[in-house]
Amino acid sequence: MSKLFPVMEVGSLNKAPFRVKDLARAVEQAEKWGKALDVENYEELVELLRNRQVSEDLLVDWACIYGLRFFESAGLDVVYDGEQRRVEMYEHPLRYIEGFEYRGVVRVWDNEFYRKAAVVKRPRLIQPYHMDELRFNKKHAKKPLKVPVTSAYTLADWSFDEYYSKHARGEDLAARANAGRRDFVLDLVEEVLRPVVKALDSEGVDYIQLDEPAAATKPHESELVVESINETFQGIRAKKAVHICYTDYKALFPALLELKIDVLSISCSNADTTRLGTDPDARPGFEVLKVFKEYDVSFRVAPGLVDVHTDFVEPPELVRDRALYAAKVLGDPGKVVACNDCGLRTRSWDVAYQKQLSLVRGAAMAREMFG
Amino acid sequence: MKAYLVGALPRTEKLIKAYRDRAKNKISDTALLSELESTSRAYIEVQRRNGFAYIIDGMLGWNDLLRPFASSLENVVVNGLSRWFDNNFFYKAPVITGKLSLRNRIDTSPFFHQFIETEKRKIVVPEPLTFAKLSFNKFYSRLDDLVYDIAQALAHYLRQLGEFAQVQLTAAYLVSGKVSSEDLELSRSAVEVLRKTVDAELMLHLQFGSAEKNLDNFLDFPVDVIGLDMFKTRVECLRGLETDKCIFLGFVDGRNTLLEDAAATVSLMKKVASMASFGELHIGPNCELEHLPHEYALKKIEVLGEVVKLSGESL
Repeated sequence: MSKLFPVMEVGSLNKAPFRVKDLARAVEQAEKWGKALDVENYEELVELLRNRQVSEDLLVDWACIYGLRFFESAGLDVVYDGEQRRVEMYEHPLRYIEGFEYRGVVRVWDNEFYRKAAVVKRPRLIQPYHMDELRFNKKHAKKPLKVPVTSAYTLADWSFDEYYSKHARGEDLAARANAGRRDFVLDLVEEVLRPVVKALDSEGVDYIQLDEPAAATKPHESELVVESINETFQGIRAKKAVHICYTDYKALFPALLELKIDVLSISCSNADTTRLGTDPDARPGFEVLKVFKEYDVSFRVAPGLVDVHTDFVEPPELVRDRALYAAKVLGDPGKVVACNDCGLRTRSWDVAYQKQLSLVRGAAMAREMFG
Repeated sequence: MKAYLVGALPRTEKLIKAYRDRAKNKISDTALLSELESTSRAYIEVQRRNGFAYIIDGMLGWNDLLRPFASSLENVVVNGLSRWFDNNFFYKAPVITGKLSLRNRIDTSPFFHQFIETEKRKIVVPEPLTFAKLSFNKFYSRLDDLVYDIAQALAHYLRQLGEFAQVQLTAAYLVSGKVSSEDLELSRSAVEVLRKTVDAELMLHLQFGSAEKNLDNFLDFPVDVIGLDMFKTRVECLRGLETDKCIFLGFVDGRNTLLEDAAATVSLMKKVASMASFGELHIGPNCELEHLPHEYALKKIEVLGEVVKLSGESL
């Protein structure tokens, strides 16, 4: 990608709107989006739905094709299928890893809970995951692909540890907890993440993205986060991306300087205003980029130019101003990749699509400013 | 030796469902309250059965540690999710828009203290500086004015909630690694405000971080018990400690399902008792047990019960 402000997505989309129980609605949505996204032979799906002849597997295949076309027709430069085959970023990989057992639900906030597993022995990869998904997408995609993968550190941080801290030496609980933690993360890299990423790489994919939402949970472990990412990506030919969202990015410095990747995508628009302008008052969400400039990071930054937690559709002019401000702060438009704050899973396809059109148009407007 | 808990217990799957059903209007407020009450009573009973010196009601109606108090304050709204220290758990940050004071009528619906005998009743609230640092302050130009107003309001709040045998101030910010000496002094003075009004054993609980660096400062706080997270604080740093205060050792991990061995825990307690001099030894989890699934919280409580039995025989 040599053009300025290339446009990428982050990962997830809401389930394709035809994956509903109401048959009439499924048919209507398959038709509407088939036409809108210019999905080839979408009439086949419509007919299958109408005749109730579509299996769940086939429906998911179609959802992936619609997901690809969703981003392609909006004009993004790097795309994926909106993670239509995946349940959730934690439980999905755990299906393919031996050594974890679910322990029950724990609270994330208020009355929201997630199923949390414990590592009970050294993790072992049953088989590389996301492979069928990637192969299918490669067959159908018309643009470069970026496959998202949940990172080792995040899998460890979101799990209990009934193995490593138990086997760590010494009487002191604090020392044992620390020693066990490092072994847990690096074993996940060696036994699981690196083989998965290698297998994906051998299929030939343009980008591999490690999703690292837990990266700044424990600022004192930021070096371990970076080490685990670099170790995971060792020897990979594909371009390397990392996504870290909604966090205190400053807490990750200076460790982030050691990150050997091509692009880091971060969330900015969720903390920004919707006023036009390229002055600091209008762009508080992008102030965080100053620390990236201050440390002169070697990788490109993909600040979220679109907030995925609101139905407000950013006008292209707002996206343009956010991109221009990011370029101004980083001191180099070539350092900026246009992106969303995070996956679009929480938005309807209607809203998400409008947001992607704006993202692409806004990035093009910013590009024009540089001739 | 005393054993007790230091924060909220997890909601049971039945209670989670009741909250969800209430949100969808499938059940009434009364039905939800009834489920809350029966789950709280069960947790109270299990603490009693395991010989705990102080008992909490489970704090099952609290959405986070700050919420009941924040919702009882004038000029405070709660908004936006923020990370609860280094956990994959989020609280809603209080936004302070004017001078703080306690509302005329506070919401007592999340409390079930009435089922606990007064001489064992315990409540857990945020330490004033921790509350201030976790809030978005849009009104006070000086941090000390804000913290003293929080302390005053907290003192009124505790008075309105009734009698307690122990009041715990959860002070995670003080061991978060971001604290300055000015912060420590400000926190100490704010706790002094509470000391003057709270007629109960007062505990300062330092969770999620190591207390080692500022241990001497913490011993100067006007409280009766200093609580330590022993999964963050080294046992060795207690060597030679001399204080009249009671020391609470968080030897049971509230953030991990791995079950502690009761005998090994008693042995660690003995080690601490032999290397330091203090008022009394207290023991419990390092933090609230709500980061565990319900069944594992119960198992941890049973481990503590076993420690109580074993230490009664040997300490």
